[in-house]
Amino acid sequence: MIFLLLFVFLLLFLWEAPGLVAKEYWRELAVFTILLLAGLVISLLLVSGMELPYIESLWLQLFARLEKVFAPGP
Amino acid sequence: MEQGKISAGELALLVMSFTIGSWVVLPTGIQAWQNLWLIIFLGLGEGLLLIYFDLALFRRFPGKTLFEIHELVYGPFVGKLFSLCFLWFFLQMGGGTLGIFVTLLKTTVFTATPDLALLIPWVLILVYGCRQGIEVIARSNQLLIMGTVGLVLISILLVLNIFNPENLLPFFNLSFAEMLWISIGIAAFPFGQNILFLMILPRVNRWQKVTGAVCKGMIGAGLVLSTIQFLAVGVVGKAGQILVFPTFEFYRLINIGRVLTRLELIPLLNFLTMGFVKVILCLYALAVGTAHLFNLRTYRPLVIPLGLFLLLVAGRIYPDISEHIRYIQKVQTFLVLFFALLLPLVTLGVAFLRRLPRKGMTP
Amino acid sequence: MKGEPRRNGHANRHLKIGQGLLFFFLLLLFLVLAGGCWDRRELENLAVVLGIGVHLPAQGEGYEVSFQIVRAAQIQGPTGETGGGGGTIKPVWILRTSGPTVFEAVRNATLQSSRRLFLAHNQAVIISTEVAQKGIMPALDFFLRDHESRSIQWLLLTPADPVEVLDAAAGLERVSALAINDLIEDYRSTSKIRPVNIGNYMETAMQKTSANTLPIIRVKETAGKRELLMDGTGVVKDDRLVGALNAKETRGLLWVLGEVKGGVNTVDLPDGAKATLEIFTAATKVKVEAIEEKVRVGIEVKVQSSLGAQTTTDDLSTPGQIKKLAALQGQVIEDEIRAALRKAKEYKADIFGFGEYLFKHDFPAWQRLVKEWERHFAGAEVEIKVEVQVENLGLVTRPAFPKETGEK
Repeated sequence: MIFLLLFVFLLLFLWEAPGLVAKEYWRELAVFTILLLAGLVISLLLVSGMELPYIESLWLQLFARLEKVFAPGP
Repeated sequence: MEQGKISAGELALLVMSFTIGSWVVLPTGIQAWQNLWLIIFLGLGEGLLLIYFDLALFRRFPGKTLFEIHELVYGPFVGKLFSLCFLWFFLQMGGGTLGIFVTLLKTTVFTATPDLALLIPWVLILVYGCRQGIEVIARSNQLLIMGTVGLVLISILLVLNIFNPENLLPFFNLSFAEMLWISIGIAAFPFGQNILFLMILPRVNRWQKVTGAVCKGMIGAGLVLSTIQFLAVGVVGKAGQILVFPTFEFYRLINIGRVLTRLELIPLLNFLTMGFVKVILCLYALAVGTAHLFNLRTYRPLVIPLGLFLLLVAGRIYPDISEHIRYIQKVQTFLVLFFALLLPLVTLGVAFLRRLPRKGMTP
Repeated sequence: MKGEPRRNGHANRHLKIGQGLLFFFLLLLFLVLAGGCWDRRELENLAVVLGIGVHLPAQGEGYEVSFQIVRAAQIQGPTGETGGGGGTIKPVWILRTSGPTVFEAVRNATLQSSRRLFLAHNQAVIISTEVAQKGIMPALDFFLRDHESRSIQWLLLTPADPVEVLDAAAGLERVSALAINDLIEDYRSTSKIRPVNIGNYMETAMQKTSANTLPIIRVKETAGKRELLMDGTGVVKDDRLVGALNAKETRGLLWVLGEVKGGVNTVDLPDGAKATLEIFTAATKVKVEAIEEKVRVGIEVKVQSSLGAQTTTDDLSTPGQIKKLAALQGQVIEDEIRAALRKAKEYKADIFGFGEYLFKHDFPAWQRLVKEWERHFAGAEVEIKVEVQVENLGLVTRPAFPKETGEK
């Protein structure tokens, strides 16, 4: 699974990078690579079974108190 | 950067699709049930006010995206911080919408299909469409929204024999405070999310027409949503309150002479296309925004990794549908109002105090 | 329009957009199609269920669920038999499973059936009175939740084991579930049963003050064959079966609900003779008022009927006689309504939806009365006005006897 993931990311990189190199878009290449690496890291974490928190659950924990203050009625 | 231009009419239609987007699947304020179609108009009014106010920012700095305005108002560093917050907002909006559509598909039609099998083709198309630029998005949207409105109009005819106007009674059996609260929820989601268009407005060929176009789009969306909700109440009746996807259910009840039945494909198509436009606009705003954040010349290479981010967010947005319903009820309104009301208000205030824009800043 | 190199101006740009659009929509189409293929199911790999019965097991907990599964090959032949010597296999296969919930029982069917059960075409869910006495929603929940099952399935009650109904002779149809479907849809020619589908049931169950009704189906032996028979209506209050209405009371219920679409009324004439009138059109207006604590109901029924049969030798075609007939029919209709009201008040079950009417038209009054609605319903004053117009005599004016009056 991990190898498949690495392969897919490599493919994505090879798909995009040569065009950027040809145009000498170095900044773009850097940002693209960083974002792709970030995505790779998160994907690897997920694939290796790490339980990342759910986004809306985080918000709910944060907002549970606020709602009591603002919302009217039952 | 992006060079494409769209017309004010295309913008109005984009706003319409974006607003119809995911609300149509999972309406907020379901507790108002038979009054919801009326409260939508109240929410639309509040939403228009909100967005008109947000657009004041654009009128003050015509031809600038929200992120450019941030940097003009706060300077490059603080401005980028503000922009970063908005990037997160767009990411969560797009990922959330994607998540809802996967949930809809999984509970109604493709129950056995794994999430990724539904998500990956979606994201591939999103990435492809987004790289084509705003012109292609706007033109595709013209067809999609025409199809959606057409199908909604057709459904009015289809439900005539099962529509019971009595189901719409009684009007206004809620207290004023409750109604106001629900309408604010609707003003925030879906109408308030149109703040995203501050990233797209500079692509409109005549900026003077922008405010009118956005308002027209929102009114159109309000009419469509209200119509769908109106039909759902009349057809499903009270039972709709316990349905997870009430607007979806009423198409399952359509039965014309036992020939025209099982028309779930209609809402599915509507929801899928409108949600698609919503997510693609989120992705576009994300890509353009990120490109701007790093002063890049083109946003196109960022679309792939950002699409991947959307996919990851969609997978980790909520553990189950009940958590998401809780989120809609408790958090969403505040979160959207924070981004669509508070932050623009602060920006506008600071701009006013610093007497911006000065001469030479705008074209 | 600067930045990326552009080739040939306007035309080229439009071409590019056109290509983009085309590809984009192809992808969209592909997506819709590809998604459907994942758990693709072909007809030959499915067991199409047309009828489901829910019953309680003799011992222990849970549910006993029976299925009527159609044998597609047998259905296609002109007489239900396959062409050359295919034999007379019954066109349906009855399967019975059990499980702690209806859902598990449905899944357990896969242990017996070589094909996966497909519920989207199910016509009727038949619930035994035992289940109904214990609570209907727990048995029904699966049918509301499942994405294949539809809320337009008919819901029926049967006093015995539902499997008997599923296994009964189908009359003129191939499959008894389809026969049930037709029996229900033909209610308009008698108006002695009230069809209820799962959606209707759920809708009424959501109403705070209303009680539900379900049609009763039973099996009757005729000439050695077990045939189906629709027989009255069960009254369900708070999700539990509390009583039953007979055909006359069911008609009364239908009058109040404005759901009479046809049928006949027989009136008594002097000397034990009878006349039967056919109902052509019927319209009902119900008005519920709450004055202080008192609930007042006004029911107005307008009927147009025709003389269908008479057993007397009298000439009923004179204007005076016709008026008399109309008045008699009006009386019969009022009796039907009164009978239904009496039963409903006895069960304290608002099967007419009077409370719901208040909720919709006089919300403040509803709020006032909802807490003790049973008491207010039982004490409701009901005024009934029936207006009958006999419009038609059929093809003859009077019976074929020599006229006695005048020529004597």
